[in-house]
Amino acid sequence: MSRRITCIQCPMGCVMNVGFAENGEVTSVEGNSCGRGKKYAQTEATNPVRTVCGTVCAAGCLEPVSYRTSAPVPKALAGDVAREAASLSLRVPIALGDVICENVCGTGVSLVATKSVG
Amino acid sequence: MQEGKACSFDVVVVGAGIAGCTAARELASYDLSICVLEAGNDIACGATRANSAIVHAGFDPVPDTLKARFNVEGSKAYPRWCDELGVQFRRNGSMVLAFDDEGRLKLEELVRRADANGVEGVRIVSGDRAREMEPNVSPEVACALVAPTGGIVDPYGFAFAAAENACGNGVRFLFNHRVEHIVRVDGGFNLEASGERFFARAVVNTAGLFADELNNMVSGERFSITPRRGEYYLYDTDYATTFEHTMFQVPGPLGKGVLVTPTIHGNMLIGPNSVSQASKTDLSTTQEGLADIVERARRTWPAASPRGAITNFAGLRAAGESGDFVIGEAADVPGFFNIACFESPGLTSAPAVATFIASQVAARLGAGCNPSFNPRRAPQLPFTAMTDEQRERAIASDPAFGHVVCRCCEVTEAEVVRALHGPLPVLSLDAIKWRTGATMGRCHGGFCSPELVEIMSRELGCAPDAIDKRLLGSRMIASARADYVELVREGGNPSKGEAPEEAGARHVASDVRRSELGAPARIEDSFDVVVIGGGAAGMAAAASARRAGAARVAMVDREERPGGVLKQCVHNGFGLHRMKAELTGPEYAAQEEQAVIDASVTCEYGVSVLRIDDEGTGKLVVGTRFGAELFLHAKAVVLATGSRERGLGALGIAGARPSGVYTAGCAQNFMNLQGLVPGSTAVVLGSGDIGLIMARRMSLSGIRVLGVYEIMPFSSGLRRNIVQCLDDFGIPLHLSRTVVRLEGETRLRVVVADVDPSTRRPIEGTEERIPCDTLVLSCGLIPENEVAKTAGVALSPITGGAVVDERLATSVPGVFACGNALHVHDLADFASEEGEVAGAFAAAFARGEVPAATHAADVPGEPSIEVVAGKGVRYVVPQVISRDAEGQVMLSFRVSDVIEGVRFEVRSCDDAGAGEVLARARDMVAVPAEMRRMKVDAESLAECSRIVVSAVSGLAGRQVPAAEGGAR
Repeated sequence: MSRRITCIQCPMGCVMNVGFAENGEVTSVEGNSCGRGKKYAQTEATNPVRTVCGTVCAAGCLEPVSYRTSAPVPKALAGDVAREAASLSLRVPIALGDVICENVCGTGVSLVATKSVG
Repeated sequence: MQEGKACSFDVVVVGAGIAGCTAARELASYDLSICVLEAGNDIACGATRANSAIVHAGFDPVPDTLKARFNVEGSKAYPRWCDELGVQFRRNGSMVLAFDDEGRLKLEELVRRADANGVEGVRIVSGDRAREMEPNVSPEVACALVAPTGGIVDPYGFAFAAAENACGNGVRFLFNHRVEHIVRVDGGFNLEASGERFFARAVVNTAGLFADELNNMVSGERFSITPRRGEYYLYDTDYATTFEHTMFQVPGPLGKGVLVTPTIHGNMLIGPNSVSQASKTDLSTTQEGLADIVERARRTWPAASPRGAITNFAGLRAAGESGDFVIGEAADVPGFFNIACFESPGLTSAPAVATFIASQVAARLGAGCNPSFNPRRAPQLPFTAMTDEQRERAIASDPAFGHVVCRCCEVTEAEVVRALHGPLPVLSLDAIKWRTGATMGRCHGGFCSPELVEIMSRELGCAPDAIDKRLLGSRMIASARADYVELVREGGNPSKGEAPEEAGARHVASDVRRSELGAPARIEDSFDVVVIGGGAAGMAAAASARRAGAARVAMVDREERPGGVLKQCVHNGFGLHRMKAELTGPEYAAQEEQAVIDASVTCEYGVSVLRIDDEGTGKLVVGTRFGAELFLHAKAVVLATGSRERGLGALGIAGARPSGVYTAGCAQNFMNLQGLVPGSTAVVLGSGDIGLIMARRMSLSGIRVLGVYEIMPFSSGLRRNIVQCLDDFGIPLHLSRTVVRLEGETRLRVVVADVDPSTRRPIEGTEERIPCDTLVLSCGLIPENEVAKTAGVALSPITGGAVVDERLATSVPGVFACGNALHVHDLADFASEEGEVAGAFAAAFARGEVPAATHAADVPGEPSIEVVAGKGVRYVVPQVISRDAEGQVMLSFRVSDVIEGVRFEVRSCDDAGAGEVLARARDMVAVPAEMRRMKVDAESLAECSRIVVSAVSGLAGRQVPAAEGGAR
């Protein structure tokens, strides 16, 4: 059993072939150009994850604060993370690097401000 | 009908087009109470807004018609009216072209008509003489009629000035008041408009396309009006000098012919065709109509093509049955006056007709003169037309004159605010556009509409989701946060306390900034290097110039904070090359900004640079900001002015003009910098990375993205972005399928169709209507070089950026270019890297270490090495390498087509054509959307006169390293 996966680790976008054992374990990765690609393919085949970025409005400041997840979260939760972020009640000032939400969607990952506002 | 007393006036004018506005102004010179009822949400919603903008000389109308009489009288009246109303008017002269003997006979007939109509100066010249007068005219021209009294004017501006003057003399204007009923009663007329009742002793019917319906409600002398559509292309100001005259064609068997004319705003216009249609409101253009006018314009201007067009539009002529105007009091209805069937030359005739009708009305009502009538309107010189001294005075009187909102047309905040609080209410963004010129430039509002929306909200106290683009209901934005207005009125800062209510509110934000200012209206300073633009390239250039030893370095940016577009690029993927970390745009900008601060660069924000003057010993960078005009003397200048997005107008998409169309960057600005939601269901046109990233951004914000459409058979975005922006969200990518038509009068729908990959023309029968309310355009970036042009920098027609050598020095000594202003980059990292090169060499130039003239054309006897785009390559930057180049020279280039199994090669070439391979690389595939880079060793160039970069498909050769890929 195998699956084609396009690498998103860098702009090259290598197309890789991932081979699986019957128990779902990754047995082989081909077509990658680097170690990061191989690691990505293994993760993507078993537990795909994404860094989620977006903005959320804070009281008292027109410019929304932009955020990112401190680490990649399960891909299927990307929409939930964005929704939970949108529901946050924030107040300015917020500084770049501030954690604006801990353990978003129970992932253990935080939302971190990527700009200073207010 | 609602209860309540009817508003009573001596005269009600129905319709605020050119006829209604001029009539109202002339009526105001009599002792009468006057009200203008307009169905639309602004003046000039009909034919006045979309026509050829010509003040006709008067040789065309058949003698002894109303058209002939009022055309000639009107043409003579224009200079006085424009002087009184402070409106620009230019007698550029008209020419009518004939292509054969039959045409010559027709010209002779026109000369006789001119004579009969009393038009002076009309003569026929030879084809050669015509070509002398107009070098771009077709070699096929046999002879031409010249009418020196033909002129051009801004029809909206003229109507607006007349309306404002009328207002100043006591006339009331009511918008969104469509007259639905009119009945004759004792002593006058009862009218009902949008639920309100009016009584008038006399009525002037200037209802344009609807004038027949109004007339037929009260008069037995019925007439009918057929809308006749005329379609146009409007061209960039780059084409301003293509023709001096308005160029008509002699009517022939192929029809009336289209005209090619300069406009008063310095654009060029071609059109119109003439197509009868049933609808009186549908202003859609058609692919066929637009193709037809280009084809017919070629008879006059052989180079005509849709290239260079910034928009297309259609107007509807109010054509009557008789072929002549209907003007005067209806014979069977005393007190009811028509200015109807007012097609061409209606614009020209309007002032004369207005004077005539006003005197008739006054006579009917026995009204005397209005002793306090003031025919003059204070001229409002636009900022863009002011001298430096006038600007200084304007800024001293209102600091907001220093803040340029619309960079393309140089419209300032003061002018926008003034328009918003003028006597005629502003009910749409288009009303601001037409009054001030903002958004009318080549970016089509991509840059300034977010800020204009903010200013409108602040000044008028209405949230962005209550602001219309054009017609009532054509919302700019789907939803805004509840406290939006409050925040913009506080200047975004909560510590400033409550905003005062209504009356004082308009200046709140201005006052906040003024109190912080305390600076003189003129700032002058000297620097070694001035960097224009504080984005990815500019920040790197400024820091690099300091590190390279320039003592005084300034960086100016038009926004309040540095970072350029990075501020709104909240997604990750930046910095992989430069910072060896994956950052978001704001994080990348913050790191670069820190480097600028660490390097002690002088930063001036909120500054719009208007031009660069040559001072002999250096350059003078002239700009303005809120409250001040800036004059920065610089030994060297780095242009890092970025790029703009290709807008709707440049795509030549036909159809209506609904709201809901945004360039990707504009939508990104609305969402990421103002927290506004543009729509609910979106389609993305163009699969460039910005479009893909916006598709994901919208999906994550709860906007349904129905699909991404790409005219090419391949995506112009990166594979990884297709995976993580589209596949992850189940958004389909449609290749070889594009948007062919926009529909809707308020928010839009789009029609898509397959395209033939070889011709890129739509395939009939494959159309599909997509029910969306938002269209996001991601159709490419264009280097922004308006400032470069003022310095005389030579630009490449291929990249749209400056022609540079390996130091990134332009053709003007001391002026350097980098980043997207030089050529469009895929990756901020590479733009920054380029900025460092430009900054370092600018510093060296400022220290006198680089000869004043390094550029190819400027070094006689020591020709530089030409860099040539060879087979498969569209362009290479730099375009030349100087003889004394040192170290490694980076060549950036793009391929012209998709190349599988690509092999890149850089070859040297001596005068005899011999040469050797200097560098090689290969890859699985190369696509035009991806910038490639290769280095060559300057030492290896000693013997060659040029080098050629090529990219060809080939079987895998020996293992060589892949060329560095580009990405966003």
